[in-house]
Amino acid sequence: MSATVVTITSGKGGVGKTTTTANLAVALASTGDKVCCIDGDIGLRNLDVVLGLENRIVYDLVDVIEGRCRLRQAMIRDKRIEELYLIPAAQTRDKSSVSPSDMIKLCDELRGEVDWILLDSPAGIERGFQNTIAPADTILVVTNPEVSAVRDADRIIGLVESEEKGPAKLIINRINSALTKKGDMLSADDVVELLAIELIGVVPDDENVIISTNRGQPVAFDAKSKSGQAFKNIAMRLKGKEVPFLDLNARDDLFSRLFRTN
Amino acid sequence: MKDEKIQIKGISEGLLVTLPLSTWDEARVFVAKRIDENPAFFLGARLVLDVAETDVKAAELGKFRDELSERGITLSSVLSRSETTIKNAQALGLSTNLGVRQGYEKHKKDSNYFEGDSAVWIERNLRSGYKVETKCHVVVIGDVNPGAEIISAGNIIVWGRLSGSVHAGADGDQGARVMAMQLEATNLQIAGIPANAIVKKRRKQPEIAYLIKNEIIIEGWDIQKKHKGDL
Repeated sequence: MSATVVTITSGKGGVGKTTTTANLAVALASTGDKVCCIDGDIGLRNLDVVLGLENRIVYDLVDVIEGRCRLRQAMIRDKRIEELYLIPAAQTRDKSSVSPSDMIKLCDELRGEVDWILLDSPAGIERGFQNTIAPADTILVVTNPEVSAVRDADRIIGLVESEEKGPAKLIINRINSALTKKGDMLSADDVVELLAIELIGVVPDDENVIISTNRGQPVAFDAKSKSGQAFKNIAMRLKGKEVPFLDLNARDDLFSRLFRTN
Repeated sequence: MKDEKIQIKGISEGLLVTLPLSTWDEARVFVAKRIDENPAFFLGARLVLDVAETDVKAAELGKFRDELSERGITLSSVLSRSETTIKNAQALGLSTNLGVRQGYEKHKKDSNYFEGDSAVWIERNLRSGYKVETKCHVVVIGDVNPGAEIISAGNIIVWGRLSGSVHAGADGDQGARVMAMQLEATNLQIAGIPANAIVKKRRKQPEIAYLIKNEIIIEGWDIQKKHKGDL
C-alpha cells in the first residue's frame, strides 16, 4: 500500500476546508479505502469536532513528532466506518512546533499503512500552510464563489505552482444557485475562468452541512443529501473515475420529484 | 571555489552581494559564512543578491531568505539573468531588479540587466501576489489577476484579461501605454498619474490607455481608427 497525500487548502478561512476534509475522508472510507486524516491547524484544531471524535483524543500530531507516542497511538479510529482514522492537532501548541520536514517524515511513515492521507491545512500562507503543502501529492484548493475567497485561492494556486507542487485542483464550495441565477453571485464558470485550473468538485450551499458539522456527523454519511453526494463525487474523481457534475439548478421540491420525467 | 570571489558592496538599496558562477548550495554556505564572520556589520541590512546565471528554486530562495531573517537581515531583491530564478524570486514577492520608480540612474553602469527597448516576456497567468518590476517593457501572454502587480518603466501589453494593478512609464515616461485585450485593471497608472476608476464593461474589446495632458484616456481599439496609442 502506498498512500496518496491530498492536501486541502484555501488561503482564506471559513470557506470549508475542514468540512471538505471530513466529508472526503468519510466518502473515501465508505468505498472501502483506508483513510487517515491529519489536522494541520495546530493551536486551532477542529477537524476532530467535525468528525465527532473530540472526546477520544489522547495523543496528537505534536506528540508523534516529538516522540512522546508512536504513530499508531495517535491515530483515532472512527467507530462508524471501517478504516477511517484521524490524527488530531495539538491545541496547546502553535504552528512552529512542526516543520515541513517533520510532516514529510510523518507522511512517509504513514504511506505504507493507508490508501489516503488527507491533510487539512490552516488558513493563511505561513508556516502552517507550508507544513501541509510539503508532503502533498495532490493539492485541492477550496474556494467560495466570493470575490475575496477567489482572490486568496488565486494567491494559493500561485504559491503551490512556485513550490512545484501544482497544478492544484479546485473545489467550489457553497454555491447558491438562486443567487447565481440572479447574477448576485459568481457562478462556477466565472470562478474557473479566473483561476484557470482543473475543477474537481462543486458543492451546493446546504444548511444541513452546518447542522451535521455541529453534530459531528459529516453529510457524506447521509445518502440523500445533495452536498453529501457532491463530496462523494469528488472522492470518486480523486480515485480517477469520471463522474458528471451535479446539476445544481435542478429543482428538488415535491412537485419536481413527482413530475420528473427522466 | 574561493571565498574572495564573493563581492559585497554598499549601494543605496542596501548591500549588493554578487555571487560567482557556482552551485547555489556552495554560494549560500559562503554567504552565510561571511555573515557569521562579522554579524554586527550585517545586522539590520537589506541585501540585494546577484546570482548571475544560476538557476535557483523557489524553495531554496525561501529558505535562504528565512536564514537571513534569523540573522536580522532582509533579503530585498534578487538579481539574475536566469528566467527560472527571476520567476521564483517574483513568486516569493522579492524584487528582481533595483527599484524602478526612484530612478537609480547611477547604477546603470553597474548593472547588466535589460533596459530601454527590451521587454520582459511572460507567458502564463500572473496570479494574486506576483509582482513584476522592471525597467523594460512588459508583455504578458495570459491574464493578470486581481492582486498581481506590474511596474514597468516602459509599456505594458496584456494579451488576455488585465484585472490586476499596473503602472507603465513608472520612472516618468509620459508616452508609455497600457494595452489589454480586456482592460479591467483595479489600479492603473501611467508615469505616476492614476486613472479614474475603471468600470467593468459588458462589451469585451481590446483597449489602450495613454496620457493626454496629465489625464489618462482609455479607448476601445478600433482597427479603422488612428489612436494616439498606436504602436
